[in-house]
Amino acid sequence: MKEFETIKQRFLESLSACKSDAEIADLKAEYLGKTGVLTALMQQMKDLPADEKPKHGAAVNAIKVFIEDEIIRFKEKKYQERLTEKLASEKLDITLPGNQQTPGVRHLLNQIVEEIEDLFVGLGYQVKEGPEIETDENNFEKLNLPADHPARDMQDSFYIDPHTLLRTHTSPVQVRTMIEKGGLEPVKIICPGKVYRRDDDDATHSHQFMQIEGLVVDQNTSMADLKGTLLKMAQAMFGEDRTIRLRPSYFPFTEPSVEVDVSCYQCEGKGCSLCKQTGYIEILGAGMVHPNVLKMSGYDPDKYQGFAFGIGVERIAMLRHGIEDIRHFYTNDHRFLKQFKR
Amino acid sequence: MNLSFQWLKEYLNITASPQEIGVLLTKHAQEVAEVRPLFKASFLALAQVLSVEPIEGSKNKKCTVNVNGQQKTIVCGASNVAKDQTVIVALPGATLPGGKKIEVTQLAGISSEGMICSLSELGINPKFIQEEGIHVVQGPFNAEALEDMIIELDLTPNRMDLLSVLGCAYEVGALTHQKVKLPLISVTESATKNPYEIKIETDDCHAYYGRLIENITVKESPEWLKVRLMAAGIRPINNIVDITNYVMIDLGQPLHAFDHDQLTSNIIRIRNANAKEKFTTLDQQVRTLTEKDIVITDDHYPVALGGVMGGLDSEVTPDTVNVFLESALFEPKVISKTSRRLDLRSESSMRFERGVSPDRVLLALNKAAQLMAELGSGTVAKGVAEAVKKPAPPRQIEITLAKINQTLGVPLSALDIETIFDRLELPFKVQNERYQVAVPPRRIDLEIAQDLIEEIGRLVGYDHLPSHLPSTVSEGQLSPVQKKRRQVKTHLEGLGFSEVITYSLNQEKKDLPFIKTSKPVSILRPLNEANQTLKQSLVPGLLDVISYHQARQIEDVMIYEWSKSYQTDGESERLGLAMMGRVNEPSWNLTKAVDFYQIKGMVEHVLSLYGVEASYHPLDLKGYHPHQSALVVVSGKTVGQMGHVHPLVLRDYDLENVFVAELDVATLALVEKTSPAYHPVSKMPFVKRDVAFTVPLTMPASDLVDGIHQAQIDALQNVEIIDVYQGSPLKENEKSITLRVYLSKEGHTFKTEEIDQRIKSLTDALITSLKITQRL
Repeated sequence: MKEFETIKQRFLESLSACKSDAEIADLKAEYLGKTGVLTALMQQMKDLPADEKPKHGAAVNAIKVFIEDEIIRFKEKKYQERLTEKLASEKLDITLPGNQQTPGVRHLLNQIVEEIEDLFVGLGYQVKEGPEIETDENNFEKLNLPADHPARDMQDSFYIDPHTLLRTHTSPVQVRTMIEKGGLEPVKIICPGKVYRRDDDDATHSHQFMQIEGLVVDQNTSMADLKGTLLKMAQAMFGEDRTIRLRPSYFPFTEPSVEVDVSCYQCEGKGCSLCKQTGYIEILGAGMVHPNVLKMSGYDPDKYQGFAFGIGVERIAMLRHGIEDIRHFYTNDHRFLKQFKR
Repeated sequence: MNLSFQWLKEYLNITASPQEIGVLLTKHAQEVAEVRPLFKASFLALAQVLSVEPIEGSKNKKCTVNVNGQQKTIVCGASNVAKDQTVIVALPGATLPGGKKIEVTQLAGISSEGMICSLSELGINPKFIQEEGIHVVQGPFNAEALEDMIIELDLTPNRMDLLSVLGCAYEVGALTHQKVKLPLISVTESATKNPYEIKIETDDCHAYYGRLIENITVKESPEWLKVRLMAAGIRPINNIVDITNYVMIDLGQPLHAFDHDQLTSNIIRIRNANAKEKFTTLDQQVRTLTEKDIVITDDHYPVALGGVMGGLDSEVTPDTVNVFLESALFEPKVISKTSRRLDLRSESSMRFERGVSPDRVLLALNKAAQLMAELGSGTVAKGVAEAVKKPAPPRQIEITLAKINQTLGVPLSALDIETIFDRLELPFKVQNERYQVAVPPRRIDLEIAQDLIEEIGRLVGYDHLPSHLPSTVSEGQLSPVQKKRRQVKTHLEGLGFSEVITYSLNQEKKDLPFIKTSKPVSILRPLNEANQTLKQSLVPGLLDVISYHQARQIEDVMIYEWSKSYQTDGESERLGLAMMGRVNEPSWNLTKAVDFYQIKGMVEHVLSLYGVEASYHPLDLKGYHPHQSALVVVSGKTVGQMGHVHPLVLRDYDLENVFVAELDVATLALVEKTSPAYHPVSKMPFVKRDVAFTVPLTMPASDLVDGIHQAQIDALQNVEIIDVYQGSPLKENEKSITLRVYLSKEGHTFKTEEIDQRIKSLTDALITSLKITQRL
């Protein structure tokens, strides 16, 4: 049996000296080949007594298995050594930038529009859109702004002909939706979109801007519903800790009408330059839909009532991000737009 | 409205501070813009100048003054300071506007214990100031007025009842739970009979009252009156004009004073103007009138433009001795139209066009007449000349408790409602929780039940309303079009495009290179030349943005805009893409300049999101490179165009090499799509073979692909163009196109001969149909 151990030792020494797969193959033939060492050992068996034969056979087999396993192990080890070398030669400078295509960004105004859309979709609202070129009937008359109303001055709107203009708010979409529903079912919509007023552009005025209006009409829609809805929106826009304040105001299409202030997010309502020491910042106008508006769009004001609100998207963006000039939104400077990655 | 707090206190006992009243008004009535002192300084006092002595070698004077019984020395540089004047002094400790601090100082060796102030040093708007130098107090004046506060109200157009101190008093009274104290006005009349006769000959004048005040002296108003006007933001002029303004601010009723001796008769006729009638207003402008305007005439000539402005010829001057005073009620809409047409907006027209309270017309006349007699040392002639149409009965509004609570969403009791009506001094009757309110003339803004709900809501305070979401149950979701829009935008951003929003108004000529037919929507009164028409193409706006960046050394730009384009036959949603520079922004190992195939790839990406494939055809639009542009067609419909912008157009923008695409996403959204049917994934291996052809340079690659499809080769799965080559050894007018063909058939494993045979018939078909050669 000592002889067997010697064979193993000799094999291992030879194996570790192998430099290539060919040498390993030769070594394997030397031991396991037809004229190899193990064949010779097997041939010794016929000279052994019958009771030793099985033991001898098993021992030779064990060496065979040993040699085969060792060769596999050795090959794997050599492979891994070569691989490690190869990987080392492939070392890269991981600080160099990757080959990505830098993603673009959604325009800040549309980011805010989508945020508000998502909030209201979650509350069960539909998002309604409509034409920007409108009849003055939809834009004014059906909103309780009759022809001689001061707010309908030709000076203040972009008229295309005496009865057509670029809409001055997205309220005509509310009118269209109410007429579409035929005065018979509840309405719960928000209307985002571009609107136009005949203003000269400066830091706080833009002849084109974005607005989102909301409208809920049902049999019991109340001002308390309006208040809860606006609070939700103010918190979504300016933070969970915000409160709102409703102040009496006037719009021809709502009665009662309110201006809505949000508690100042910079000073927490204590008073600062942002809120002009009042603790509140005006963010939107709202009110209960004027019965004339309901009537003109086919709803019976004795059965239905509702609330409406309108918010300027630019104003929200300017407040939230401290943007000082409304014209930035329409200049589209990359260095401006790309600051607002989602 | 600038509300003087002290003036307000004439009608109410107010214990709250002006700031507290300001907060109440903002919360419950109208927004208060600011609460500020009239004189923007503290430590002010009235003083009598006892003596004035010159100081040698200085233009300053040493003044001895009496302040509340104490003698003080003040060095003053004003030339108009004189003995026996009453002046306003800022005492040590005072801070003047601009931060100037008053302390005891040594001037020319004299200890000066304060400063004698001019009005401008006290923060009074210079346009109200009539004098040079220090302010000399005229006549009786209460030192308390030095501490008056102004509550500046931003009024909404419906609350014009607050354009008077009395109107504000009703409001503040309602907020502080007290009734307004109405002063009694009595006129002391002389024996002379008022000779005037009034004739109204127009529907647009509802009432007209006149009084004659005789033997008055036109002079500077006393201090208290001037200070009141300055508090209200009105420039003092003389006692007669000032009194008309004072009563207007006090009661809200505009008045007009005529020089009685300039009127040619004692008949006042109110009529509509004649067409093209000329009239010179007191601002010395000759106005051409229309039949819609109201004129006041002295039976011969117009003497005032009713409700808007008086005439130059009958204006009260320093020489006026007798005054005819008018107080009238005009139709609001008429005043509004006249003042707008003539661009003549006055304190008077502003009040008339919003509606004044009919019950104060006579009251104001009497108050002003009495004041004129008192302050002008004259007498009021006996009787009021008047012509009055029958006033409309008070408006009645009905409302139920249920409707109030249903609208506000708060359970108010009948007592709550009644208390609020009482506080607002609105007379009402009630039966079975149904209220009938008789609207007083001062609140003509209250027209319908909802107006009363607003009164109740704001007095209860919106802070006290509960806050919850509507109970209406409804389905909330974006429409398929809205969802698709968001998806495409998100993809574009992933591809590197940033969204821009440009103005919808531009110039037709900028659109022309990018549209087939121009049907511009034009604005009647554009703000300027650059904003005359609505955009018909998105490309000019995108080029403007790119040009902006190029001018700022930003040369790699990928932008998109999702906007409408507008033509006379309608507006439709479009998507515009524009690329300049390198697709991968500055990269150390991989940058690719934008080319036609880049923008085409982007277009294909967008189209794949709509589940459609397009064919591309030569484009004939001046704005595009004639050989690097394409018309994009889906199912026989044009859905857009794309390509290299023509260098001649780019030259106008100072640009080179910009690639754009414009897609009609409104049409794309309408393309019918069948929902995808499931095919089991093939378990068969596929065979791929590459074949190359030499073709004329001008031949579109799509001819080869189409040709293969037309050959109807058995088992053909797909054809790809994998290489296009030009150059040696090909001729100059040739190119090589390599196609990769995929073959596969369910349940069949191909033998080599079978594949060869199919590739041969495919090649033969192309060679025959396109007259090209195979490149081996």
